[in-house]
Amino acid sequence: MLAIKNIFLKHLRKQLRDRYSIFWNLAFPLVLLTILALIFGGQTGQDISFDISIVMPETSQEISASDFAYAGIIDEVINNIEGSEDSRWFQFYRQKSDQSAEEFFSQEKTLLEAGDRHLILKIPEGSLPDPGQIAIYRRPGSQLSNIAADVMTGIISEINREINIAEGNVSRDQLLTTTSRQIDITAANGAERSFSVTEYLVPGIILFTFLISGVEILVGRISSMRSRGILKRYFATPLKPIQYFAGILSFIIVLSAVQVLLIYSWSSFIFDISLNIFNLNFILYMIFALIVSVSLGFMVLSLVKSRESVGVVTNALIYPMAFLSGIFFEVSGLTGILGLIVALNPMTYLVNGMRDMLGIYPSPTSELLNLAVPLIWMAGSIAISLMKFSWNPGGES
Amino acid sequence: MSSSTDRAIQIEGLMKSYGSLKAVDRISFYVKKGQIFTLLGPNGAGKTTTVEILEGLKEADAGRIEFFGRKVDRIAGKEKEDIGVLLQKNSYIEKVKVKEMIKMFSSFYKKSLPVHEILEKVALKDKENSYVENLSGGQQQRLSIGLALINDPKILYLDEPTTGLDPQARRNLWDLIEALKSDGKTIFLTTHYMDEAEKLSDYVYIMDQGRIIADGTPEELIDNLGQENVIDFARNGLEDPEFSRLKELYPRIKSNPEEISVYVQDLSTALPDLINWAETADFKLDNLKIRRPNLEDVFLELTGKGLRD
Repeated sequence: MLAIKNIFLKHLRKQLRDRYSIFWNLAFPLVLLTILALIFGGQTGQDISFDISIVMPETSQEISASDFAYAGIIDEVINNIEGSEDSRWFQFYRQKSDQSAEEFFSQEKTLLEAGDRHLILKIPEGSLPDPGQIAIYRRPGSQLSNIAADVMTGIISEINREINIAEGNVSRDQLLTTTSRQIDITAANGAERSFSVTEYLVPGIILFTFLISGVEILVGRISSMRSRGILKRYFATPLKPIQYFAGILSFIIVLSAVQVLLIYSWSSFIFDISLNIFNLNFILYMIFALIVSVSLGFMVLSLVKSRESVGVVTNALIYPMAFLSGIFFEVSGLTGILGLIVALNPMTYLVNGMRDMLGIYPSPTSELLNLAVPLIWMAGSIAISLMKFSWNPGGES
Repeated sequence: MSSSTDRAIQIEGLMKSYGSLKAVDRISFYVKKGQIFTLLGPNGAGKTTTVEILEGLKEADAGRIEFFGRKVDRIAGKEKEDIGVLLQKNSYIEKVKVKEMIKMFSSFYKKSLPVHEILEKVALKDKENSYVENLSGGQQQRLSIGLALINDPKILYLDEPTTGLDPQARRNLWDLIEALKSDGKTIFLTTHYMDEAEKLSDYVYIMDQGRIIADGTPEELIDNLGQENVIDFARNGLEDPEFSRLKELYPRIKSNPEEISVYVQDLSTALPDLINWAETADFKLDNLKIRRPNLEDVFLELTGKGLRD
């Protein structure tokens, strides 16, 4: 156990004492996330438009603002917004004249679940002195939905202020109040298609760091130590290969955990998104993804003996696997040979599974495939490693 | 004659092949406890393969090994607890300090000496917090020996310990090896430096093409040559018929494109004869040296080639 701990510490020290490693293994994923979020997010402020559904009570449609029904006031405020220069920020959807409120609400709720609406405002039928409560339906995990809810809450506060000015001091219970409601995403059907670029990228970047840790770092370190005779020296002691493996694997696991926490914290702090990555299923799936990456790494080490060739093969494996899997951007439209690579790539399924589990993006591939394809790769890699892997440079076991 | 109880290692019929190449071809020998035993041979003779089998890094295809009186199929974890190893090529992972490296290796063994004791033994106390990659070649080699001593081994395998070191560092390492012998360690040395073998060895086995071709103490091996002196001189492009005439004068002669070595018993007659021959052949005797035969000459005599060929 002490030997395993010391091997782990040795790799950790090398990691922490090497500025190059710190940048590439810890800081670079954050830089990459930021750059990609800015490139693909288009979040410059001018491109944001909130899609908001207004569900009016059926009786309110003939009520004018002067009747002091709140529904009428809100209707007028929205009309004013639509006619102002602020209209570019909002796209409002109202029920048709022949559509019941419940029918329209049900339709819009489906669209909200699918990400095609950012917010639903359900206006009560009330009027002074009993205004009722406006229900604001938003989509949890969607940054724009949360922003839209904040904006509409602000508008309603402004309406309350206008009522106070018009009517004198009205009591608090005569003002409009809101209640925030979340859409239960797990109940959403397969057509869900909400899109937040940063949320979409976070699981991809996590998986990319696993791929780097499991393939590049693990393979790089073992092949370097193997070719330089360092491992041979270790195994001239009573140290068993399994102990060395446990030591370096512990390091890879800890490094990966730190990477995940950094990416999570960075995305929360900088992009204000909150993903529930600490649920058991997701943690288990991340461990599975890391094991798949490590087994791919050992397959490379088993098939390629020379240190120089290992570097070339590693890069030739990691980058197509990352770019042709949807880790960074959508690849579902690719056809031909590229489409085939996407279909065979275990990372495609792992990233789909991770996004699906976090409720960010519904997996275009089934849960079964998201488990089975990486599992097949893992099993194949382990089988090849068991047959071909050697700790010795010449390949002799 | 030694009894089996005073033997550290005894092997019989050890064999190892790589495809059709017989790296080690049914060799047998034993190593006495507390001695410095040297396996001498040119590159590719099979020395490293033999040592790696005895270190437990390779498995022999055939043969019997007895380790401190215990018959074993192969050298495994239990035997490794009593073995110290210095490999031919030693390199270390970067960004690890000397003290940390010793601590890590200590944790590989059930019993180990304290870190400070190791640092003192190999004179690296003042370098304990240095990164290993910042040590000089000699210091790195001393650290490697320190790592080989961590478990207070009964036997130390030193594979080409001074290769690549400057003369001063080589001499320092020789002193350290002799001190280890004084401490009662059995040392198994492989080298292709004849001066090293002659200075350090109690007993020498000469290996070529996977086989043991001679053995004895350095003095015995040299005496077995049956020659007292060697006269070396530059070849200066000497060819027949003068070269044939020289060979008629001195039956035991070795040559390469640069140098000729003449093996003689009696210098008082051999040297005037050589000068006469040179005058007659109009040959200039450059870089003439007279010396005692050494293990290189033994090897040359046995195999017809030099140790570093």
